[in-house]
Amino acid sequence: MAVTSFAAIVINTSGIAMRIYEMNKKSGIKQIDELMHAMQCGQEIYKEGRLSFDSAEEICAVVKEFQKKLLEYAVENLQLYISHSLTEAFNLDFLVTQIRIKTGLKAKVLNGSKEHYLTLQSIACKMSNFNELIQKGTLILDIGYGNLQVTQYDHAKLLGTHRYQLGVSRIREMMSRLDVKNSDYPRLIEEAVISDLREFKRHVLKDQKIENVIVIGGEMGVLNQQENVNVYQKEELQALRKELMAMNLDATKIQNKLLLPLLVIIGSFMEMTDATCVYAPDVHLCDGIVSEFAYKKFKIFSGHHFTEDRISAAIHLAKRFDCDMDHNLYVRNIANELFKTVSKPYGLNNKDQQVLELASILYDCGRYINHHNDDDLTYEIIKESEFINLSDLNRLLVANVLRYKDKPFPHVHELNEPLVSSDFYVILARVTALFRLADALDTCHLQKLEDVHATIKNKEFIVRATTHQEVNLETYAFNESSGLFQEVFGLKPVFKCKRRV
Amino acid sequence: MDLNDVKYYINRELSWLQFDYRILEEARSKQTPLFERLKFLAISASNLDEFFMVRVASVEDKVLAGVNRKDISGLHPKDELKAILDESHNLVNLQCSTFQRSLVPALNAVKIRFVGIDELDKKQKAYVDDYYYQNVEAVLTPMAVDASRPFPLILNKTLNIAVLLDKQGEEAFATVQVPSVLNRYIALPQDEMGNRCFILLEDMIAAHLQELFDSYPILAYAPYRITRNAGFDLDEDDTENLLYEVEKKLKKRRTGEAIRLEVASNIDERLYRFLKDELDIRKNAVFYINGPLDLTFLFRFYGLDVDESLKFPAFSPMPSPMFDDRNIFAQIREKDLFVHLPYEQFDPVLDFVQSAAGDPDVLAIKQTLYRVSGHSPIIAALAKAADNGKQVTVLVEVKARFDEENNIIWAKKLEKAGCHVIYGLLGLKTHSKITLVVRKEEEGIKRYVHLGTGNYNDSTAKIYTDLGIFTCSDAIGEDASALFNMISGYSEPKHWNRLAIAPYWLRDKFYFLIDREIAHAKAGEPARIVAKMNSLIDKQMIAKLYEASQAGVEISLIVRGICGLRPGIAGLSENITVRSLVGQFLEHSRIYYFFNNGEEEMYLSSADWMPRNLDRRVEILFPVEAKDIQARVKEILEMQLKDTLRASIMHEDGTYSHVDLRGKERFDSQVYFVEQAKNACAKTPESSQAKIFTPMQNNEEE
Repeated sequence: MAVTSFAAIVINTSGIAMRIYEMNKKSGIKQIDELMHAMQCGQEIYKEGRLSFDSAEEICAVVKEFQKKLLEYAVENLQLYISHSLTEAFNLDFLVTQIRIKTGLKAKVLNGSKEHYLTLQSIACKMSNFNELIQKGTLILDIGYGNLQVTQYDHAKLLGTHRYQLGVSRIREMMSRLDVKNSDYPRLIEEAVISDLREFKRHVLKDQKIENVIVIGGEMGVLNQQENVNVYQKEELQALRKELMAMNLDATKIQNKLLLPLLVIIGSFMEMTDATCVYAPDVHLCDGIVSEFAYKKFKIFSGHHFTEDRISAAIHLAKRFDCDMDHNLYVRNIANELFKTVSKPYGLNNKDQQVLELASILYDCGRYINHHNDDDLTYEIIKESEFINLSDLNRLLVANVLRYKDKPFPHVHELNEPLVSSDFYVILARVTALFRLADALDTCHLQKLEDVHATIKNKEFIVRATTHQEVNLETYAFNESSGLFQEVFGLKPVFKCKRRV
Repeated sequence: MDLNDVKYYINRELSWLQFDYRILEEARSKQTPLFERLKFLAISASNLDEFFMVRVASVEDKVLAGVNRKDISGLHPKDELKAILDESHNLVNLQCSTFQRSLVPALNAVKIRFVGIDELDKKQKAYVDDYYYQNVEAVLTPMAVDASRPFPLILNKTLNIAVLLDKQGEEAFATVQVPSVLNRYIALPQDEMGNRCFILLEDMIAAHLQELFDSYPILAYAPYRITRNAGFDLDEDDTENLLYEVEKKLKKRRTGEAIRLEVASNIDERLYRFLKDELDIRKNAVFYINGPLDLTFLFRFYGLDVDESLKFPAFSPMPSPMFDDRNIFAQIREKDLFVHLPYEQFDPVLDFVQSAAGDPDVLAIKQTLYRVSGHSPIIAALAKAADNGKQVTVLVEVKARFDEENNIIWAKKLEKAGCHVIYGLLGLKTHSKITLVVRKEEEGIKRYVHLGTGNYNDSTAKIYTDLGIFTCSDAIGEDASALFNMISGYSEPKHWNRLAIAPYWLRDKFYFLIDREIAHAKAGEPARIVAKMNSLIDKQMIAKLYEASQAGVEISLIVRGICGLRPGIAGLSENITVRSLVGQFLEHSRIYYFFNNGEEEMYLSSADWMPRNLDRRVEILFPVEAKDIQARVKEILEMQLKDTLRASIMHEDGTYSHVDLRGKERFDSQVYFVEQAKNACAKTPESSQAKIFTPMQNNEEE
């Protein structure tokens, strides 16, 4: 069976890594080589908000060297990503351009959710018991150099992801700005970390039972041994932390200054959970990138469906904001039915459907805060939330669909979203129109309709359903909201409901 | 018992000299064929040259720099210098007497004579004159020293003649270099007794010396030779271009500070003073030589066509029975393969690189080169590979002592051919011997690796004993890639599968392996270590071995050269034995065996147990995993431990003596391996035997 080769390059604040893989359907994915060029560009980014000329030069030179390496394995496919952690550099776009000019490669900048998705993907493909672990309450701590990302699973469902500016380099950088004596350093780290995580416990974790903790992140490499998945007992980590804290840490020893925040973060989580040990798989973002590639190209499955995670996380978020889930999930189903009918003739794709689904699930979450301005509040909540493997643009689409679910649909200039294209506007209009119809069909929140399905006939978009109840309000709402649909799709929506006795 | 006590350690330089004594012992032994004795003497002379250029120079540098740190045996540099110079004098005296009193009479007995100018018969005299005018006179450059002409630059290790002239009543000094482009000895017509006669070039020149200074009478003359400091310390922190820095330092080597002056024992006092003052050399660094200076000419003299009984039986490396005519990669895919040099041919190593160069499925070749031969077929194959579009990466160690110049030439040649050349690593010497071939096969990328204990040098592969393994194990292949990535400047891998790499991980690996034996011994289980290496001088390793001995681990060391450990001391090292093998072939392989409570583990390496190998070089320790190869490696150790003819046993005081043969079998391990290789070759299936075309015959004619 033919073997395909693939290389993933990731540029992040601690350096540039490349992993080279081979894959085929029969034997799956195999890593064949790995290169790492260490750099400390995180420091300048967190301190000055920019990437220096020298760092950009160095990155381009290393990528160029990596390209040569590809010839040694005749690598056919290459993807180059820039980690989300570098987006804090205001001049990141310049780096992307320089890389393209100097190496001919197009670097993609990861957004938080995509990076998060790839990270989880890498864990799922490295940990054979991942699906088993997440049946129980599980926290995944991605302790990066800039940020800490906490992902929560239970009953095999993703409940949510929360990001804190508590990366190990950032903490070190923060401490270096304070005039801290070496002896005070451990205590201050503890204070900084614990105050943030206390909020996590109160607002997010509440009384949820957490039995498993999985930790990943660059600095874990200092602790990790030769295992694919390293396991540390709680006491073992506590002892190491105490040992480090007791040491009068030498400020010049970067390793100490990174390891201590790492252990403090892990220790804090251990204390707020029932976990007795920590799993530390030896993963890299590159593993997630290759998993995604392998699935798209060869349907080589890494062991976990992350699309379902996105839906489950959205449902969890909607529940947190006390949404009417009966209505939302009912509308989601109707919306999916309507979408099916128009998707092919109008060229709508899976991503558009994901937007429609998420909008349906998250409908009215802003009302939890205020009834008056709920659409705008919903918009803000969605904009600030993270949905695994959802691009920034698609998240913006979801937020705007709900922002304009009732309001008159705006002119493109009134959208007030920088950098959106006319494509974005068209998709927004289409998805909003579909959502409005679907929502109208449950305007009383009583889920009166059954067997909802749609057809296109001549110039009409005919929605048929059956019901045992009267549906006057639904019919009224359907007709009221049909204007945008007619304008966007060029079809007149017609609602035909058969009353059953 | 304090394991750090200096009395338990032997000085490195004195131990080096002990090794020279052992070589000299072979030259003195009547059991050794005469011409082999000459060769051993040449080796001992050549070793001593290197000893002065590198080791004595280093100690002298320390003295001059005022360094006062004691060595592992507790000697301050000043005392160390005195001790090694004293011992060197004894050694040189023994070398001289060996030549003059043992070897010259032995040569005479087989009708070979070195004759002086006064001993020539008429025919020979005419021959010498004729030879001199035709070949020598034109290449001589006499140089006078006076107020306007300073003392000339005398190159390292060149032979010269110092001349004292009477310049109109005043003494004047002049010097003539004995041309190194000419053969050091000249064969003369046989004398009346039928002896094959030879005259040394310096004697021939001396006979015509007055002609070079015809206007000034010669008052005295004497041959002399100087040895210069050849060590160079690169300030690598400030080195942007390693190649350029090495080239610069090389130029300096020829003119480094004089470390040793050798003069004829009958030198005129005025000449001696003049040389000593001009060269600014300390008194005990002047060696009076009774006989010819620079006995390394005997290397060449060894090549003389003489009766075969005067040399070891001729031996050419045999084809290895593990290899056949098929594609080498196909053979490695079947199982790990092994080569035992010089008993077996180096050809599989060449075949490995040459096949890779021409194989369309090979994508990349990577290799480390430390010392290569003059017309290296390896280099040619690598250049060809680059020409064929392979990705070729070669680390050429431009800091390989005494091969710097050679390696720079090779490196430039490879670079020109399109290879990616790494000129060594800053602060480290890359001493490992590894070749990685990356091949794209139907099942995907496959890596083939050759790992060896010796250099990729087809010339020394005929005289150095070394071991090498070919494997396509994924684990070793991954490690090999990781090593080359590291060498290319990328970060270290998170872990190594099988290889242990110096300078970062090797020492710990050895400690782990020894500690495991200690634990077995303490648990009352049998524990044993057999380690074969060239030198053992690392204090921490020695202390670890003492600790193991104290715990009851049985330790057999086969250390060819320097050994800083004192074996057989009650309560400290009574479980340790040390033997050194000096034979026809230079023992060079490094083998480390650990009993591991019956789960035997054995490793091969490019590294000795010296601080430089463990801390300042890139070295590899690799496991022997295939059972059949394990059996062969174990046999090598067993045979060497059984050797009674080539082995010397080290004593507590650091001296050595030959094995007492009483009641023991006379056994030469090197002869055993020669016979083994011959027998194995004889049993090899037809396919790898010599190819003979068999003509079809017309049966009717019979």
